Amino acid sequence: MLALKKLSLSYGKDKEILKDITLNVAEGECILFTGKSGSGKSSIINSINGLAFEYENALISGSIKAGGKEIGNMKLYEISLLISSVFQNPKTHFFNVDTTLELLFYLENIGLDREEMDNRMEDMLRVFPIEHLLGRNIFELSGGEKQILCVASCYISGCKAVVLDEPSSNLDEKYIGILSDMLKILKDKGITLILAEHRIYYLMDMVDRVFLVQRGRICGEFTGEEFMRLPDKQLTELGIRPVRKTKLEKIEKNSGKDLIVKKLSCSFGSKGMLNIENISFGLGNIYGIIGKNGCGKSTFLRAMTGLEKKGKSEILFNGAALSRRVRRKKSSLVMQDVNHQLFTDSVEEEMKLGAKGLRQERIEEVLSGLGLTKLRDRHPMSLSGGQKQRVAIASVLCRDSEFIFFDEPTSGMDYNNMLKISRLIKAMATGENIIFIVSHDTEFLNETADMVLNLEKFRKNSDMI
Amino acid sequence: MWTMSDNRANPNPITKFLVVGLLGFTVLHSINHYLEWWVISIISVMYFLNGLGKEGIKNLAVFGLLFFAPGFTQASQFPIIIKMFFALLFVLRMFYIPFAAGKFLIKTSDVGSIISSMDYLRIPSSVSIPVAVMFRFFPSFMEERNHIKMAMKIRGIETKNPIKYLEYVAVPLLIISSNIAEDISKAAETKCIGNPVKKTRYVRVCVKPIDFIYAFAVSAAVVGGWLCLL
Amino acid sequence: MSENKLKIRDLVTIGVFAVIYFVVMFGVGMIGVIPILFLVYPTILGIVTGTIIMLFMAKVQKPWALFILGMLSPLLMFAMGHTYVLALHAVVVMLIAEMLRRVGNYKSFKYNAFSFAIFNTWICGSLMQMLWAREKYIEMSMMMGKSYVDVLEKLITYPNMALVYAGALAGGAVGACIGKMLLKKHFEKAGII
Repeated sequence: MLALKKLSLSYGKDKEILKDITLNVAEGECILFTGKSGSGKSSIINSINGLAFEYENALISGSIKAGGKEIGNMKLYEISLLISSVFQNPKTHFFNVDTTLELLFYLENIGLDREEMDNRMEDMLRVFPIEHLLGRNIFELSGGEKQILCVASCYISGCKAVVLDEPSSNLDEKYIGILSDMLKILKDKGITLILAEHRIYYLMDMVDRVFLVQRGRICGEFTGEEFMRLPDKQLTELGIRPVRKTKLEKIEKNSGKDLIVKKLSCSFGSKGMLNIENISFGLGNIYGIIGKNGCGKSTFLRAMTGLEKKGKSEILFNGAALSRRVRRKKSSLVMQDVNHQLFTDSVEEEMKLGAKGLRQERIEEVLSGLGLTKLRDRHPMSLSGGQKQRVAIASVLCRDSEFIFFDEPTSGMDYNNMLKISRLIKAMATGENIIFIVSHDTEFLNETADMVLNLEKFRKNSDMI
Repeated sequence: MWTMSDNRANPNPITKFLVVGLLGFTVLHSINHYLEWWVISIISVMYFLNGLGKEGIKNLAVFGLLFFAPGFTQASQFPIIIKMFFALLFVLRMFYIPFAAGKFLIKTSDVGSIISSMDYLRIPSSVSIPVAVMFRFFPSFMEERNHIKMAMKIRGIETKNPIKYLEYVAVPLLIISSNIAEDISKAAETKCIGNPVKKTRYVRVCVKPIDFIYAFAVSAAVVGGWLCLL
Repeated sequence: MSENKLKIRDLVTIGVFAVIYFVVMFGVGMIGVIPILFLVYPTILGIVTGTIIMLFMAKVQKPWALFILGMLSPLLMFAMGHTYVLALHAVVVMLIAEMLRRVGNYKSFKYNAFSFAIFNTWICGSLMQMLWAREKYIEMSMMMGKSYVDVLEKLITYPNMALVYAGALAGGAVGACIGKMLLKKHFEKAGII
């Protein structure tokens, strides 16, 4: 099906990403490339589906053959006739606004007639019963639902192979489960699956071979069972998340009386409402905010930070009521996509922006604490994802806010990077602030949070009333 | 069994677009006032037929207001601010008829049928792809803009200098938009958009009786309106 | 030759930038609520959108990209009820802008800036249609009193229209320079282009 022979890949002259990779994938096999971020596993995926050549100007030596044809010489659409792709971030990787049209888009592009499209659609619905997702606006779908749609459209395309680049990184546990089931069905249908992942527990009962990728080389090949037997410690050292599902160890309890949410309610129209009463938080603690997709985590964030205009809130801090405006002043937020919150042309400027009365010593202290001293003059947007996130954290630290909020800080992170950010956040808790982390990353919450707050129990669905 | 709705009372986008274009002429070449009402009523009826009764009533009410505004002679005694307001009403009055038809086009056409119509008219992909992307990107853009505004608020970025403000919004917005553009085109390319075979569209463009009725009713009013004023 | 053809990603970029341009244009258009500011609208539009279009030109250095981008907004406005004057006017403007870019081989800042200044005059088409429908507008304004109509008649004239065009060109030039500055300060430094 697919043969890689002495494949090396580089961006520009001296940025060699992949070195000397040789392997064969048989039809119907499920192959997993794993390793830490930056190891090159995504580059393998991108050279198989051809995006590396067209979009990243990659240079290769060696060969990649799919169905006997050399991928480097094929146009993107020719590759897509053989191989479909699923991406890391389902948020942006679609072309249509209507879900049904997105599913049919591939079929339209290869020129099938309407009757054949109907047949394929019905066949797909027998395999994946997702009628509830048809005919909807993609922008109303949750991230998990979008990813389901992506996998379904791979099936409907009829391609014999699917490559997936960290498909679970923006999903919560429930949707990782659904993704896993869907992939199993694809495998049973004889479709070749090629994945790059560092969260791997959901794949372990279907994967045939696991390749360990380190610094652009393949440095280990295992069967699924062999890989399961490796100790967790060895894996986490390699940056890979555990092979078994992790249980949340933190408990829910009210602690501290510094910040009291007497009442906080917000309506989602016909979809019910979030209604929180009498919970309290203590200074110096780190709280994990959890709950299913769509239960109101981001609404909670917006309401707490005073950005949400709708709904009612009554919040006390040290006995005094906090208005929305004051809450906004006292809060800082590190967003999930930190690109939204980088405004200036250098790291140092970024730290000064919006922080009044900031002393130079403090800047130096924060810079060195986060390992950003060397990058101080760089443009924040030119940095890597992890570095950008540290810049955002630096700007938060410079504001000395009482309440610090993180929105999904570890989505897409491997184990090492997750640990790094966990350590940073723990170091931020000073006893004069409260840290809130919205996250569905169980390993990260176990590592970081002092306790958790599950928002699901405050959520009332309108059909339940 | 899955289905896609196909409304018999909804003309295809091409008809609606031609009607807008035709009504555009009425801005420069006036038609009889009664027939103006006739055109507006047709559009309202079309809204009703498509289950958008509220829009239909709004359409009539707004036109009524604009229609009678120039007759409000007391306005000459009012202060300049109110006069300005009236001046604006007059501009709206002039453009309202084609605008109403345009709004009807946009409110009742889904993206699928617009794209199919462009294919039907053999519009080259170098135009139809950007148009399709516009529909796809517009909601993303609004989302991203709100995120950035939120980030600015919580960072306490308040600058009186408009150029500075522009820079703060423009830089992240343009960078994120460039990234999204990249993602959209990757998604499209892995779905064979570059395939040179003749493409098919699931959504059909069909000419239904309603297309003739709509087009004919409006053309009659416009042509008749000109003849009346000759 | 094939190097210079618009690829899928270029077409997607055109669509994306058309949305940005259109939304910003609409936002700036809010100032048109005060009628007299309508005359400086083209100037302000040029200053504000310079960065967007200059970034676009830096990203897509190929024939016809600017032309297609430039025609999308007038087409959308046409679909929303503007007259054919606007659309035809835009075709002429965009062709000139496209030719200027070609002279500079699509890369030269100087020609791209000229090209944008011309590009920016397309919006004057919306005032042109006002000029053509002048009689109708003045007739409606009669009820506001003679003095008002006199002012109006002096305002809506061809020589004044020329001033608006000059303003649009100047605004475009300023916008292109701001664009260049921000490109240097941010987008080049950030490695976007």
